[in-house]
Amino acid sequence: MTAASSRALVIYAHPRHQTSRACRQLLAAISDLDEVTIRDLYEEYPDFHINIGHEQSLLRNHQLVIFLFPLYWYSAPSLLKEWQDRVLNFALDEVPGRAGPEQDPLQGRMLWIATSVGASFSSFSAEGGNRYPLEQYLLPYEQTARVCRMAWQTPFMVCQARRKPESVLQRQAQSFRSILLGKLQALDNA
Amino acid sequence: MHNDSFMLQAFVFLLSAVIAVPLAKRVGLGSVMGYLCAGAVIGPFGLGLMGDDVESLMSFAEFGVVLMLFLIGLELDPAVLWRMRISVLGLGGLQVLVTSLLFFAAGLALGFSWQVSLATGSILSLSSTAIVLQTLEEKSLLKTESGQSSFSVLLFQDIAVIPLLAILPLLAMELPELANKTEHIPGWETALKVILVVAAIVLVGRWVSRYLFRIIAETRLRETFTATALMLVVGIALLMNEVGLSPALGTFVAGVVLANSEYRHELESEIEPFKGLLLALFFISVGASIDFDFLLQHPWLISGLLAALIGGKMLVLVILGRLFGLSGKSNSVFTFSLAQGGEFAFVLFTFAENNRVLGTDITAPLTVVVALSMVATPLLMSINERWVQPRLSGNRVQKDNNTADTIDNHEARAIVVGFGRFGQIVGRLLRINGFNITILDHDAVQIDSVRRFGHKVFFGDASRPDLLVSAGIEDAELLVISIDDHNRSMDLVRLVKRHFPHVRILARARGRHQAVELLRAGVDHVERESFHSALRLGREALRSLGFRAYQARRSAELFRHYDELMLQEMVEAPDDEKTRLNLARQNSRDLQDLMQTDMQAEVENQEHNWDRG
Ligand SMILES: Cc1cc2nc3c(=O)[nH]c(=O)nc-3n(C[C@H](O)[C@H](O)[C@H](O)COP(=O)(O)O)c2cc1C
Repeated sequence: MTAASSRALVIYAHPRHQTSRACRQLLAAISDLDEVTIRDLYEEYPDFHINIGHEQSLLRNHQLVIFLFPLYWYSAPSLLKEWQDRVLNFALDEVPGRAGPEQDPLQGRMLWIATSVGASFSSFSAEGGNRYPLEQYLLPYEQTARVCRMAWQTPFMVCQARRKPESVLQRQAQSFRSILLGKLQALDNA
Repeated sequence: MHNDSFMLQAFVFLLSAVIAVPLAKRVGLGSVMGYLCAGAVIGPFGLGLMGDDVESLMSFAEFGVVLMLFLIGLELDPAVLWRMRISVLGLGGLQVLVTSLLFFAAGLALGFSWQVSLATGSILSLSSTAIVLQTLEEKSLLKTESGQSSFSVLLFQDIAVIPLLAILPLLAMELPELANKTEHIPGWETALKVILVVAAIVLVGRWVSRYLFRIIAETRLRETFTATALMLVVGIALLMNEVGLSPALGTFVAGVVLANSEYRHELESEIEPFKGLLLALFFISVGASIDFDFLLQHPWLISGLLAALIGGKMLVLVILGRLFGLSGKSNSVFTFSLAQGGEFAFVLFTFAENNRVLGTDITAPLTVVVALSMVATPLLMSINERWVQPRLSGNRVQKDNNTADTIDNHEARAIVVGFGRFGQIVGRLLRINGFNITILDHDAVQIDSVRRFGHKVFFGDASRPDLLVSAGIEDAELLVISIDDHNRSMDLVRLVKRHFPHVRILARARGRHQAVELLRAGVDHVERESFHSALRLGREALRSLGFRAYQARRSAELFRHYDELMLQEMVEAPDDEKTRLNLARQNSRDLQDLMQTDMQAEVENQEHNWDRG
């Protein structure tokens, strides 16, 4: 694979990007990278009519898939769900057991979730209001990755996203960027 | 003076029909019975109000049968006809053959010569196309299994008249003379004539008539179209007579040829009223021709012959129906409907007399018997309906109108009126999704351009009930009105609401005002022709000014939502100019406020409540 070609695919789903603070920072921190392709779902598909073939071929051409979204009701905004419903089934179409890129289109790729949440980090614990760690709420995504034979990556989270000062958000966005660069580096070395 | 007597006669006919038909319908016997009785009452043997030339009246009225076959042809395209070939040739052929043989044998047994027996046998094997089809249609049985079988038989009989006309004169001759003569009857010449004429009809129907109709249609003069349609049918009938073929058969072929044309519906509704009137006249003259004097003088002879005719025919029919796999119920309709002598019998009896095959001693009683058997048909059908059908199966709800055995089971469920830029989009969407649609447009040029895309488009003015009926509105579920003339749309809506209230109507409206009117008139759903495209463009404008795509969509959707709410309010508001103006003014203010509030809520949306935890 040539160095110039994009290796990371960001599936960004934010219905109110115009008022976003956290996700906007995360996105801004990586959008200058050549190796990153950004799909702004709510901008591409405001009517929820998804170009399935196009999305699937994008998936085929990228090694690292990132879902970036604000947490809404312990899940992703609805257009990302629609995207999953329409696009991902092709990962199961092929006969399981037979190896190779044609049979398992997503095999060996990575799935990484980056999400902003309103609640505090401590609330996602047995004592907190949300009672479980955030990872638990993301279990459906983890299992999705497994079924699609993708490698699940530890999620990246921004907590108290509406409350944190801009400078803190910026710092978090920078660390998001460096984790991403690390993953891309690892891909190059592999 | 002459004129006066014509008017008077016409008045007598119409009056008798107006009195007798509703009466007959009231007692459940159908219009045919009404006409026949009316004819008997006003005929020379009744009140004598008809003038004395019943026979020439009848031959004029027979043209109604010709028109009827043309209309039937229009409903059957060649593919359907091809599918019927087995029942036409098999069932029809056997019916004529076996019935003729049966009566032939009966004649011999009664001591008549073989010539006389053969002539009467074959003449009596025919049934009455006019009576049977009219009755079946009135009972909506024509498109069922039984109706189709009856139709097949009648079709074959119409074809059989041609050889009958050729054979009858031969029967008058002595055997040696006959052998002599047959050499001079060049069968191939007749065959060639038939082929040539049919080919000519197909040729003209397929290619020439289309241009003719288009030119006529472009004049937008209805009378000219009517005249052209009638001219076509009369012309074919004359041509057929000229070459000695059955005019009914010729026009039937012409009908089949035109069945696929886009002018089919228009032709149907132009010819229909003429057919109706002439057939009525025909039935009346049949009723009038019954010789009651003769009947009173020989009551036993006549009733015996009548019973034999009907009984013999029914026997053959019921066996053949069974043989061709008709279900019990279908077979009984089939059997009861075809058990009479036909109108061709009158013609052929006269013909045989002139050729010295049969004497008046034979034709006089048989003419009365045939006429009476025609009168008996509606009675027999009623008997079948009331007493025979219920016994044949316990399941009364499930009549034999299974969708599977209707001719046109792919009949369109939706009619699109107006196939310009708007209607085309609707139509294409429906067709892509596998729905057959019937398209009506009054613009011949439009039709021509659209037909090139493979659509089936029919020409005609949709605000006429008869045209809507022939386009199938009675069975349609949906009417899409996509014409751009508001007044015509309104007329159409009122008409459909009045006569076909079961149909769901979707309509295109020019603007808000027209939309309100259409909705008030009872349209189920209205779309303003430029509303959605304007909103779409507005969305793009918002995006160009920096809105996110989804944000623009939400805003446009909100706008649409309130706008439609207000439209609904206007529909429900009292219908006067002042209220309407006030409402409109107030609405545009409200819309602004409402949207602002909603957009505000959209931004704030209590997002902060999530970070309390
Ligand atoms: C409809 C809706 C549902 C939300 N559901 C949750 C939730 O379940 N848990 C939570 O911690 N925050 C929730 N939030 C808060 C958002 O996660 C938070 O506002 C967002 O992550 C801020 O990111 P942004 O600045 O990029 O918009 C919700 C917010 C909205 C508008």
